[in-house]
Amino acid sequence: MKGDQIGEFEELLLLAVLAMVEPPAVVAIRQHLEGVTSRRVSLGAVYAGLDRLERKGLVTSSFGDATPARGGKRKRLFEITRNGRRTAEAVRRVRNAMWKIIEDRR
Amino acid sequence: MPAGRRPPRLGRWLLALRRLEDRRAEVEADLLESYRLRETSSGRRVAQWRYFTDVMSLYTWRLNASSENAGGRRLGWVDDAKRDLRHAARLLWRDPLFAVTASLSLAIGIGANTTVFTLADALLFTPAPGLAAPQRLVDIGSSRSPGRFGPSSYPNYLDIRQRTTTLDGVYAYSRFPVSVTLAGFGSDSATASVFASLVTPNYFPLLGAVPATGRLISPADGEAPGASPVVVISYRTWVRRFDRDPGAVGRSLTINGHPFTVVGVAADGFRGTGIRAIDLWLPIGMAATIGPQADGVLSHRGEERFLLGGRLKPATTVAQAAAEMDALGRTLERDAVAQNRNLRLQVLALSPTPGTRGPVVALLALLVMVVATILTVACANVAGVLLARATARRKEMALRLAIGAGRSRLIRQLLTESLLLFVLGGTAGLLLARGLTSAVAGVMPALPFPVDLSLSLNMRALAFTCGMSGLAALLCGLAPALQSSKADVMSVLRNEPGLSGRLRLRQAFVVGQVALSIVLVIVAGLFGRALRRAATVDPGFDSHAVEIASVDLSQAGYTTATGRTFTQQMMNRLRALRDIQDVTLASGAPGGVEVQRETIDVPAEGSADGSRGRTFVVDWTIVAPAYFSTLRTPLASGRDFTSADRAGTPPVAIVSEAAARQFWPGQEALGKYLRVATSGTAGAPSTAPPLLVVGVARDMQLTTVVDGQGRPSVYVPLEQHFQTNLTILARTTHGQRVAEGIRLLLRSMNPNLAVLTAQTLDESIALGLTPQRVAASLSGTLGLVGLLLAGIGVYGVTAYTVTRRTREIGIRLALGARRADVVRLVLGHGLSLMLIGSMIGLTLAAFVNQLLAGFLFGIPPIDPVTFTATTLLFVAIGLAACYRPLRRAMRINPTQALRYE
Repeated sequence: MKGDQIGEFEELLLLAVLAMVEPPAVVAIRQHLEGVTSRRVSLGAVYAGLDRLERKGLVTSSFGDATPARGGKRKRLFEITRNGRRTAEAVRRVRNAMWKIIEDRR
Repeated sequence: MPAGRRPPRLGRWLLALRRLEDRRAEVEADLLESYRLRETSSGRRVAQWRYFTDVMSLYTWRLNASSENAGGRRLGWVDDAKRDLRHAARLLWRDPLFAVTASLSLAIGIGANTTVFTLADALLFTPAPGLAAPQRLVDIGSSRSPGRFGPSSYPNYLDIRQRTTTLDGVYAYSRFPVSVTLAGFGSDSATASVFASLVTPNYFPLLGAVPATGRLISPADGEAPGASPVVVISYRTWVRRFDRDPGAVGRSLTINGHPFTVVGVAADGFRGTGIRAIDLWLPIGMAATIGPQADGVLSHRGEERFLLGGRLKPATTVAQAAAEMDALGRTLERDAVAQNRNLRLQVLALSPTPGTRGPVVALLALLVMVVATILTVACANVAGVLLARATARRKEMALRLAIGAGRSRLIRQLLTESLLLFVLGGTAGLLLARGLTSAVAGVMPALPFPVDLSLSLNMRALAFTCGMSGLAALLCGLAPALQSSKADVMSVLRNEPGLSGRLRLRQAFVVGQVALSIVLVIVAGLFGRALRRAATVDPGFDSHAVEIASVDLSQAGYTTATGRTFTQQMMNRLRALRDIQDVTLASGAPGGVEVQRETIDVPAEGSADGSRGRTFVVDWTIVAPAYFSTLRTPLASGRDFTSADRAGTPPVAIVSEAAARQFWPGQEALGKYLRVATSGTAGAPSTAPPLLVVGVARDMQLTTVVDGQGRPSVYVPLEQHFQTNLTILARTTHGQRVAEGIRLLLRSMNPNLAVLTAQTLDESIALGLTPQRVAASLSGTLGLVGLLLAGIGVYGVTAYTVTRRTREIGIRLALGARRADVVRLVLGHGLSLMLIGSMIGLTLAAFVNQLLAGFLFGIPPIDPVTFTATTLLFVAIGLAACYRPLRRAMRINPTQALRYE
């Protein structure tokens, strides 16, 4: 089914959304990714990834409040859907299973 | 948090260009927030750079999004394009000299075109801001002779307004903004000179203008003379003089010495329908109050001072209104045949430059022709080099064809390469255009009347540039692409010499490139020499250390009667001013942009009574005594004007030597008579009083110094031809600036009198030379870049020849040819291309030189210096281009060459 397959960057985005307590905005997600991966993440890439995830129904977005740091404009806040959480966990299961095989062989 | 800082301008500009639709607000806010976070965490530099890269990343974001939307079928195409793009970028990167010169020459071509387009757009198509439904507005022009689209008188306006049935209303406004003095506002208590427009009370309602604050002039203000001393100020005046103080409304302003009440502020950017910047709008009924010279301006049908416009009634067309106005014009002629003889009324769709559309279009057409030529040369240059490169890659193409690549695929790849080049060129061209338009905008404040044009690069200009680049890329990428994809697989792979036809096309391009570049370099040289000449030539007067300041006495309420006394007092006080050596008055300064012309009659020999004579158009200058001594222009014979040449004494004149030669060849001019031609039937005797020639002055360049010399000039004394619009010319003792002294002196004499413009005579002359300077630098830059490209082209051809003939050269060497023979073989080819190109270019340039010599002063029909220097330059470049291939040819080892594949 379409939506079950996600790429590495989409996975990272999904995890970043999951990692936050409050529904995060684009800027916060980017901050988080750059902090964890210590690589540069462009805003365009984040938009593109989140767009794809939203189209696949793995995240939803809504508009939050305006803050002065944003020149008084509203921000878009992202939340993971049930389908998104399931997909993230499925990816995790696959990875864990594969690592287990690798470690068992040692 | 240092929230005050703003992200880098370039980044914001690029962001503004990106189409983001409904996502824009969100994206902008995200960018801003990130920028501020980074600024506090990593510093300004890093924040700016990341802002920029983030904006760039947005471009790929939407690109990917749209290709995904298109579905899988087209993904193959996108992948191909991406691969082509990468390949093209790598190729350009490998040859930076070519990439830089090619995109630079395209940038100049595209930049110049975009600038002219922006100018045309602003002058012809973009309606002035702040108008409601401007497409329903029309201009109404009146004319007495065909081809004119002129102003109307107020009485005629009233008749038109009353009788029209196709227009919802007709408004009138001053043809030329009236220059008035303004006093009594804000912190700045000094008197300032500003431009006001007199408008009918229905002007603002018909235009659909809205105020920024307060109200606009409305029909309630009435139209009766002197009835409503109210004023609407422009947004700019409000910002500059009142610091956006809402309390400005209701305040009193003193305009030309009369109190007016500010009733409101026009919307930001509103400037009426034209291109001139207006500071104040006054009801038309106040015309006589602010201008004593305006007696009868509202009652005489001969006083054609107002431009008219109107709004079409719903479901009425411009053609219907035009038909009605034409009939109305004939009616008006019948009603008042004495004043309205030959009156015709026309209606045209609203334009920022009503009536001058013809000349404006002609000027723009000329500009378009020039810049289109520049772009054509740039394209030819790039196409030539692309062709050379394509030929060099014959083998690659043949190989790819052999292993099954489609021809269309190859053409697409080659086109991608030229497209990339044009994207580079287009981007640089856009930046160049930004610089050029702001340069144009920078010249505007120096014009005698302020112009308000928004010359920002808008989406239309951007679309124009993109289209231009795309078309150019296609045109000059297609020929090379078609050529090289036609490669005959077998012969190429067997390394047989190519078809000679292909080489011929390449050679033709190189020759054309050399020829066109040489023309450009020579044109630049000619302009440069003319400018040098203008700086060194003796203009007939000494412009150094002369300060000029213009005043209009009528602003302070002086008439031609009261102005005389004031002028004398002013001259006495000016003479007493420190640092001023000589001072005089004139109707204008020499060497400036504008000059007054007059048609005069020179009566036939022996008849001072005014029988049939010959007529001449002359430069006409009204001067006070000491004009010639202030400018250090000697009188060849006769005397200067004195205070004895007043109204009431016999009228006199001084003529220039050129005038004396033309009017009375071979005779003494002193004691002869001339007259101002009165506008009557041609050839009929003039009724103006005869002027006795009392002096002959040396020739002066009265208009822009570079064009033409020795136009006949006639000078008449101010006292006998008094006018209130005057220019003060003051020679200072050591070239100090005395503008401030003059300003203070005038203000102390009459607080309502303001200095309109103050500059040195040198500055005023330099302003007149701006077009020549721009032409010189533009064609010079393009010519030199073109030259470099031509060099690369010659290099390409020569290198290719050497490669192709390696075997032949080896055989020749093996058979005992001397190195000198090899040199001749290699050089002969490259240089002969250069020479043929140069010959064609020089011939073309000679024609251009002939054309330019007509209006570039001091340039001989064929300028030997420019031509020789340019030829030597091209030969040097040609030799340099042959150097590397030549060295390779010299190193050919016969034994290796024979085995060479």
